[in-house]
Amino acid sequence: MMNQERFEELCSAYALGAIEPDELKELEQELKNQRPEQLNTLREILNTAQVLPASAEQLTPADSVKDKLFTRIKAEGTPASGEANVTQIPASSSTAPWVRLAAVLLAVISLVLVYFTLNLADERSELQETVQIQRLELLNLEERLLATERYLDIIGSRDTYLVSMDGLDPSPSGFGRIYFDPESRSALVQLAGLPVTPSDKDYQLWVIRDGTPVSAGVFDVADDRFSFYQIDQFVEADLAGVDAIAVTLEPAGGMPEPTGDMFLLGTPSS
Amino acid sequence: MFILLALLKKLTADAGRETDLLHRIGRKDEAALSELYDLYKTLLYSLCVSIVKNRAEAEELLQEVFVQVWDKASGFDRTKGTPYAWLTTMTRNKAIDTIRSRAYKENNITDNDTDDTILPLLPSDESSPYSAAVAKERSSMIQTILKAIPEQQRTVLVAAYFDGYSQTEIAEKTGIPLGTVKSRMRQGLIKLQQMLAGKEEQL
Repeated sequence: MMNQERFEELCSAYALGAIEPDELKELEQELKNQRPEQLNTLREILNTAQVLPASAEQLTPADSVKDKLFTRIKAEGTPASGEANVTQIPASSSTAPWVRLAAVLLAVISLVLVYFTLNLADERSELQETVQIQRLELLNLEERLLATERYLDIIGSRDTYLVSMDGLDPSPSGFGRIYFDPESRSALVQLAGLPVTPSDKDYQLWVIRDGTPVSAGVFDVADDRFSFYQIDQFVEADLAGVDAIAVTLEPAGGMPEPTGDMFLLGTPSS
Repeated sequence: MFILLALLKKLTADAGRETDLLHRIGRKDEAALSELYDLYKTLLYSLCVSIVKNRAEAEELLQEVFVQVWDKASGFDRTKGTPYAWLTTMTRNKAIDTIRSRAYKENNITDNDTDDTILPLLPSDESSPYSAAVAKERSSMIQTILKAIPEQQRTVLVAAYFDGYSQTEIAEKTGIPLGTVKSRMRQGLIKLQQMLAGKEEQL
């Protein structure tokens, strides 16, 4: 594993589009290890660089740019360079016919060359964007693969507990499961059928022992399908003495004790 | 990370609306293209000018960018990034291609380059003077933050992002050792990140 400073150097060069090809390979190789802290570092640096476009001197383009754009859009299908009409090339009536023909042919060839040159430039730019997007997709897929492997480690552990939670009134169709591996103290939380988290709220998981709820994590549900969350250093080392596990909807960031509606509830024995 | 995401959310406060515009443009809705153009014309045009340093070319580039938006909007995927990131990346790539193809790199990197480019700008909604005022104020804050980054680090950031130079090219142009360029680039972005985080409350 490379040291953090070197990794940050590579990420910075990548975020600014200044990375050398050999260093890009080095970065991609390092990212194959899928260390969460490295992925976070990369995201933070990419996000920081996104502020740079907003730092240019404020200038407004001429109104004619928009007019030209829409003229071009309306004529879509006709290449911009094709707007020129070869028949408009002036030719003296005294010029020999073969000279006029040669001039027209030359103009046509020039236009074709210009057209293909512009297209090649466009294609190059598009290919660069495609490569950039695919790299980010690859990062995303690798991250998901690593997360899945971690989930399987928890589920597959010999001593893993399973606690199911049922939906309550606010969302009766919701349900949840917690897989808890006492050996690693890691838990995998699966939520489904819950409404998407409002922007000013978060779902919060509670472990209730002797009637006292203790927060075990805060979740942001992006859709009502299955969502998985991993918790390291789960609040309870042993679920045997736990009364219940619940999920409530709380103000964003969570609360020290439950204040909102309870959406899911389960007991270790259920 | 959270703070940066919050800032980016503020920078792209209308990401949902803009995503909707892109989807409509994908269905060839000219009114949506017009609306998106009005929202982003200043940001993207200014980005172009700061890279190609020529207003006429920047206007050509702006037109090219929006023609590409018209052609490619149907392929925009919100899960892969915000409209802001998509549009600014596309614009920067086109502008950098332009200066590379025209050998603009003969110019030396100078402090003046930095000063010319570090000025405020954010996408503004011209139909809402209040939003424009807030965006301008926020832009001014970002400008202040950027100018507060040590000059040596800021110059390297600007040379990479706005002039399209690789680290090796920056080292060659400035005579600074390559290792120092890499170090300044990293330090500059981290400093920017820290200063943005420090301004969270005001942003």
